[in-house]
Amino acid sequence: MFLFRVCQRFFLVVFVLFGFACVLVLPPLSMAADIDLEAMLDDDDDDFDDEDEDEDMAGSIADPFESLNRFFFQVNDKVYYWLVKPTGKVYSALLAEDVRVCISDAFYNVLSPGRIVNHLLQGRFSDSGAELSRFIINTTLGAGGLADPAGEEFGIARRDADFGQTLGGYGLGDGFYIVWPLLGPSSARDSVGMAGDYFLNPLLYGLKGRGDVATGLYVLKYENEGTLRGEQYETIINEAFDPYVALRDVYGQYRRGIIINRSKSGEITTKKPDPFVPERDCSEFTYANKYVNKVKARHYEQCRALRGSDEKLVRFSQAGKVYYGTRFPNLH
Amino acid sequence: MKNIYKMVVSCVLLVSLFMVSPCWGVTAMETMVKTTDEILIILESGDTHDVDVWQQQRKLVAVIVSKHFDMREMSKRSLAKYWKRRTPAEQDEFVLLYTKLIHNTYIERLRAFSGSKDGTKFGNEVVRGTKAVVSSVVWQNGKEISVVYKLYNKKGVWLVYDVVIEGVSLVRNYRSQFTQIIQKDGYEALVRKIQEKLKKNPVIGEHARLGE
Repeated sequence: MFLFRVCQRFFLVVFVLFGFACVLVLPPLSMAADIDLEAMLDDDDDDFDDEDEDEDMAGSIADPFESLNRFFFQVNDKVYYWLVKPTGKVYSALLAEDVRVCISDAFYNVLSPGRIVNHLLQGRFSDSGAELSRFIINTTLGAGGLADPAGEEFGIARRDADFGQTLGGYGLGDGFYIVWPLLGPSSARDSVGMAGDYFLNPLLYGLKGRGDVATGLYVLKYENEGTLRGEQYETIINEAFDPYVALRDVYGQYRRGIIINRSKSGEITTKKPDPFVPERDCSEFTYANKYVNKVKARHYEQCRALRGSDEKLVRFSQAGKVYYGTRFPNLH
Repeated sequence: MKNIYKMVVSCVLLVSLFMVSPCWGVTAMETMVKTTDEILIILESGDTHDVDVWQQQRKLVAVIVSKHFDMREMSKRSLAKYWKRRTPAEQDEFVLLYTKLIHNTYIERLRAFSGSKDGTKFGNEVVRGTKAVVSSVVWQNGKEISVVYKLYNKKGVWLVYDVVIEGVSLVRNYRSQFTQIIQKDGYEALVRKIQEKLKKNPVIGEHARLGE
């Protein structure tokens, strides 16, 4: 019994460390829906070879505490490679990727209140409403958010929002770059944002007095995210000449991109179609009409049917994965 | 009177339309759709996880990437103000190194995409003068990843000069690192570092091509 306790404690500590370290792997990615192309053209740096563009060229975010940040970057990096990655391998072996995605979705769903509030604070009422609908649909029909019927059946896409982004939208700059030990890259502004979002987390109130359960859940969340996104972190580090600078720049650009897009685009749903967009047919997924997602495959068939085609997608498996497609892309 | 007015307006609109798109032939969007399709056909021609197969595929993809990506412009933008300080010979050498580097990293990323790929969906295209941005969404592991291509028109051909993945520009990311290295250790140190990186992960060099 004593041994069991010790083991329990040990694993708890390991998982907590693992969990925190996983945050260092980039914030959730889903800005795809609302990229502001006009802003991107405005932002195009044609004066890139100006002689007096000194500070700007060094990176996208100020870094007055570079030596301290570099130290904690090293610490986080070691924690990832020596602790997070090995434990992640075991965890991934126990749970298939599909299951891990479901768990990730469930945590994403629980954090909906934060997004609903932040969308409101940023003046995007329809996004706030959409997140509210997603929360209600996925919590009920989607078994607590494990599945995503709101997205797959009702077509309501995810809309990310956090408090750091809200502050950025109000015109607050990054401030400076901070690498938190175990928590990873952040900025002065986004650190304040993290604190704000902490109080919008329903688990904080729902699990009051149940610190053990809360810790367990957090650990599970970060462990899970780590196995799903560790590869991204490794790609950045492996491709970099100076991994510290590379990650700092990725963080700065990514956060800046989100805030520019958010503050300029306003109500995303009212986006006008671009006159230059060529009419594309149902094969909007140009990649050989092959789908992993059954629902998307069904949508494709419906779209084709509306245009008078009786094309049916066939289910086939390739390299152990199931696809739905019009042909077998396996040519070897 | 009203008719003349209408005619003038429509003429102005018509002329402005041609001014907006300097290229009468293929649009930036069409260029990217075609490029993606070409790369896809190569990636799907065999199992990318097979090392020998992948070596062949990589060569073919490199040819397509060289055709549509302006490596010289990308090198210039990545070195920023330090580009002008190099001699033409040094610039040519850098373009070659940079090309290999892109082949090493970008094409390897395409390999990773091919495994879990669900599809690429092209979104909008915005053209302004000789520049264009084309947005697309790549599905990976059930998540949408935004990929935006920046192109410019060179004698009627659209060439990519930057790829922005999830808001992170490839060129700017290199620039922030290159600047740091040059400021600290000088240009020669940067060249050495790139050569070391290429040695660690050797790649086909024969298709690396100098820009005009």
